Amino acid sequence: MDIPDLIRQASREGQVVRLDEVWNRTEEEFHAQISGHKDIDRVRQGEVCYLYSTDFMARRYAETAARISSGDIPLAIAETVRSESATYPRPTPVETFKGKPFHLSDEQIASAMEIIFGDPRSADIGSVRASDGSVFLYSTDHLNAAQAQSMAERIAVGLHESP
Amino acid sequence: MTKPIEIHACGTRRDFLKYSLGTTAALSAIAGWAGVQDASPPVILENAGGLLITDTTRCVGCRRCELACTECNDGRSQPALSRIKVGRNYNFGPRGQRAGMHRSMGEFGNFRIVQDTCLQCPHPVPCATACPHDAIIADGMTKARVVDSDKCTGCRICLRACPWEMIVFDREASKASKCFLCNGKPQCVDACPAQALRFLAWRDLTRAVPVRQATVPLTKDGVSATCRPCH
Amino acid sequence: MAEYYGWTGKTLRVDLGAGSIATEDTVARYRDYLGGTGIGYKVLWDEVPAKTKSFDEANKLIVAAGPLTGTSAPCGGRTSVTAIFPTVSPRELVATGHMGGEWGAELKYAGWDAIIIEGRANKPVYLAIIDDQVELRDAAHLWGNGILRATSAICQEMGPETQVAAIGQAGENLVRLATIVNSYSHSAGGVGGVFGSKGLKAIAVRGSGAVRIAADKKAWRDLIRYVLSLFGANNQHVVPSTPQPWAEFSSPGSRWTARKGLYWGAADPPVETGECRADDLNRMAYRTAKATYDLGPNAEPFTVRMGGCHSCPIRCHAHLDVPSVEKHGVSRYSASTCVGWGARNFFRSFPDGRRGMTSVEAAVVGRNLADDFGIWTNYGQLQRDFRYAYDNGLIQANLPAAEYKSIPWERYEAGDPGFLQEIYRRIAFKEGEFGQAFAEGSGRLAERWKFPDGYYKDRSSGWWKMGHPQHHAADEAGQSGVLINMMYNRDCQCHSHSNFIRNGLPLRIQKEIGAKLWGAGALDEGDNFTRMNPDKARFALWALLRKELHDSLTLCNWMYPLAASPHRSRSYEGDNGAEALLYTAVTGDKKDAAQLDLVAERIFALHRALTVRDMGTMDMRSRHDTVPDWVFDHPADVQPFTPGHSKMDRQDIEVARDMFYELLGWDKKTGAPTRAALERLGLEDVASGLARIGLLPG
Repeated sequence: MDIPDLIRQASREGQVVRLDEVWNRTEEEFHAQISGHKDIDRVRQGEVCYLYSTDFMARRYAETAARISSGDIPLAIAETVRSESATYPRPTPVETFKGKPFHLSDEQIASAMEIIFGDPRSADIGSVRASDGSVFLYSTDHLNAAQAQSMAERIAVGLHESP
Repeated sequence: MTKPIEIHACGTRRDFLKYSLGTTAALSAIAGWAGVQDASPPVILENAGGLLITDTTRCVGCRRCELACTECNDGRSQPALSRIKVGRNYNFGPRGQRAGMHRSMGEFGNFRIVQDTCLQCPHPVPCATACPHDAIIADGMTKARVVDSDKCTGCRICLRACPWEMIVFDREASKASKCFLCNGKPQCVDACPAQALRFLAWRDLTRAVPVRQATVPLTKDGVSATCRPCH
Repeated sequence: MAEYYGWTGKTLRVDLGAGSIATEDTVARYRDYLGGTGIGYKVLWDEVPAKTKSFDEANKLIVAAGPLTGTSAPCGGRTSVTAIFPTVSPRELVATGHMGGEWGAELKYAGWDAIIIEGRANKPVYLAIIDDQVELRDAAHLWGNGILRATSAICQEMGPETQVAAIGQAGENLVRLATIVNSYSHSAGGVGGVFGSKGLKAIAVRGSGAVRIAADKKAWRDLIRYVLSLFGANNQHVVPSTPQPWAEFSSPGSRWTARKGLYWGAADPPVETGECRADDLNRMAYRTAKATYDLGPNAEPFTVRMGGCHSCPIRCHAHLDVPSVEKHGVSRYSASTCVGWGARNFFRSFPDGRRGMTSVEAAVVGRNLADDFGIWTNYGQLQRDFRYAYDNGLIQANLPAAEYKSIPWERYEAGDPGFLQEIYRRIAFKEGEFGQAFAEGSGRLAERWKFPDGYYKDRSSGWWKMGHPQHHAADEAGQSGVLINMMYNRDCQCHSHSNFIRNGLPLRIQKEIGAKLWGAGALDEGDNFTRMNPDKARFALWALLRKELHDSLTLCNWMYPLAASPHRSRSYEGDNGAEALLYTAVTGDKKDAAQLDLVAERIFALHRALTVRDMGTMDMRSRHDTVPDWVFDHPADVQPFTPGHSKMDRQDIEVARDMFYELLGWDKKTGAPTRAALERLGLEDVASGLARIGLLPG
């Protein structure tokens, strides 16, 4: 399978591909090489370039996948939470981190949350618990606590009890 | 996307006739058919190239397939005319209301909705054989069995001849009609929101699908002789 | 008779007393009202005297489909039932029930647009329609039986493909909270008792005819594909509920729940819902796995498939096979959606938790009983009233001691789903004080048992007004939600607004879409409401007019309007004119969105006029368009417009009423429709009628 096809296959599965894992020359040379493949796009996480196919993956999803691929799980979670609190806005159920593109276990999530709450760089990340026990994270930069609480309650309970 | 149909029919019609000559000879001996004046050969149709395959665990009972059939082919919404049948099995399943509530299929049973589709029978084709006017033929590219409405007189024999009750009658045109696979792009398959219909290479399902009605036993001679005076 | 497109052109009029059956020309009489509720209100205005009560012989039932019903206009399989409505209190007023299933389409294929039922039969009958053969048949052998037995017996008489809409014992016994049900799980709320009062057990229909479409075949096919391409999932949620590679956005509250690893677990063999891309029209039926959404993960292994109304690709009725409920005396097979599963909310708790297996069983047992006895939940109000009454000793206080003792409360306390037999049976047969009281519906129950003021002041009651609960009100949509909930006589059954707000798109994009339809100020950040503005009034009016339009065309109110779509390529815009495109193509009557909205406004105004007439007052503002105190007072220690709360302000809502009335040209002081407003809609006769009884402003 050539590299663009590999990227497309990975994108279909919900994964981004690290450029330096499939190419050992420069980024510019890579993009010259695949210039005919208009669907191949890149996102950056820190210094690292990740590739995906726009035929199968939305850019925003690629950004999230890149975050988690970088290996810094607490950072990936915190940045995702901030993004959702800013964009929608809404709190993020921690359940989200078990599925694509995160695939984290309960233990990984719990230990990441410990790190997040202990790190002054993520002082804006708060948590709320809905009445069914489910936990949501949010960023106080974009949502206040009361909003996060009522939104979490609606998502976890209200929407299903009062459809 | 629809894959190209693999044609299973024998090469040419001539080859086919040569192949089945033995069958013809046997039939003529049995039926004394050779003695009939101006005898037309038995209707022998090439096998169809494609077939509708149903998945009854996926059918959600929306009946958009029925609507697609008549809206795309007849310009109106009329499930009674649809050449794919779902509504008649909707409540109680194909065996009807024989087993009481919750004991059979359908919405009032175990929820299984069965879509009835034309099996595009191999020779001998019951509807084509029964037709006194040879009005059911193998169509164009698909070789689907189709009613030639120029020849159809609306006698409705074919409705009773099909073991699966798949022929419909267009009351406005006074003609029989049946599934002809929409010239290779079945509209029902296109319309199904549950991937419960597929259009695949033809295979013989006439022994796999339970029949729906007792058919009217006919030979070509019997039909011609008795029906022609009226029809 | 003339041949029409969309409409069959024939309305059936049945006089149950005289036993007579007549045919009228739908288009000649009712074209300007479309069908459904439009015809319903028109008939009530023209023919039913003011202040008629629900169970009076003079009440009429208008059971109507519309020009789109029976075609492949997506989600057209709806029927509206209009009458003076039994649960409205203290005075019965016009309201409507709505049912899906197969019945409405079959009525069109039989050649009928609508049925007007009048009078009262002197013995039980059912109406049998086989194409143009219509007759009233003896129903003595059906009376006293549940909906399933009635349906079964009628199908034996008329054929297994017959579509039957029937009442159960509840409707027969004039239970106000009664339904009529077709296609196993599709119920129209509140109207069952009116059928019962008329001695009409069922309407059964078989049709072999056609609905004609004006547009040519290719144009129609292209339009259908276009409309389907705009569809999201149930409630027109346009993003998946979990992050999926193909989707830019996701929302945990979305009903687009399909994902890898989520199955129809009781399908044989199981079917994976999988990732359903927005451009894949052949997998739309998988987008909304609703059993797990409503009932939790425990419902997954019991989900046979999804199903729903005729011509709908979305399929929001989960079909479950739960063998363990047979021990509670019901079938293992059940189907429903949303509040149809709400019987579990009778219980305070279950031994295995809110979303445990017992809760699933309770939902199934309750649904099976409710849709066989034909009992309405009133959007969950029955369950809330029961809980309140039980928890506050009102059941014990109001029941005779012997009756109270005869009820096995220990089974209720234990969370035993079988206890639901006790509740539903008693209501269906009006057994004892318990049965008679709950059968009356929320408003009259509260009167009878003297529910204290505290009930209405507490938001947990869900109570709005006139015997019905809130339905997507302030908590979801601020002032727009409040306006919408004011306007009807039962709960508003309007979802246009909440569907859009909850569709999962970022607020910025929602505002961009909203700016073109109502103004960007229509939408607030979630749970962070701001003061009233004209955009919010426009949003509310759009929501209401579309509700009426859908109930008349007919189209599903949980999918339309298609304000948004799942496509980034369209900047997530849908097509606000989708209904008009479908209407024009089917009927050949060329109308754009604004012109069709005008028809909707006519229908809505007629509902208003009926309400004014039958309340005997013009003062809608203070007597009808009311808001329960808890919207303004709860929680006590919080100011209106505080983030995290949906507390509203009384003065601000007065401004909301002002703006709303102004949009419609209704009298500012009273909220009553004016002559000018009615004449603009071609309702001169209505204006004159109101003027004659002193109920026209000015």
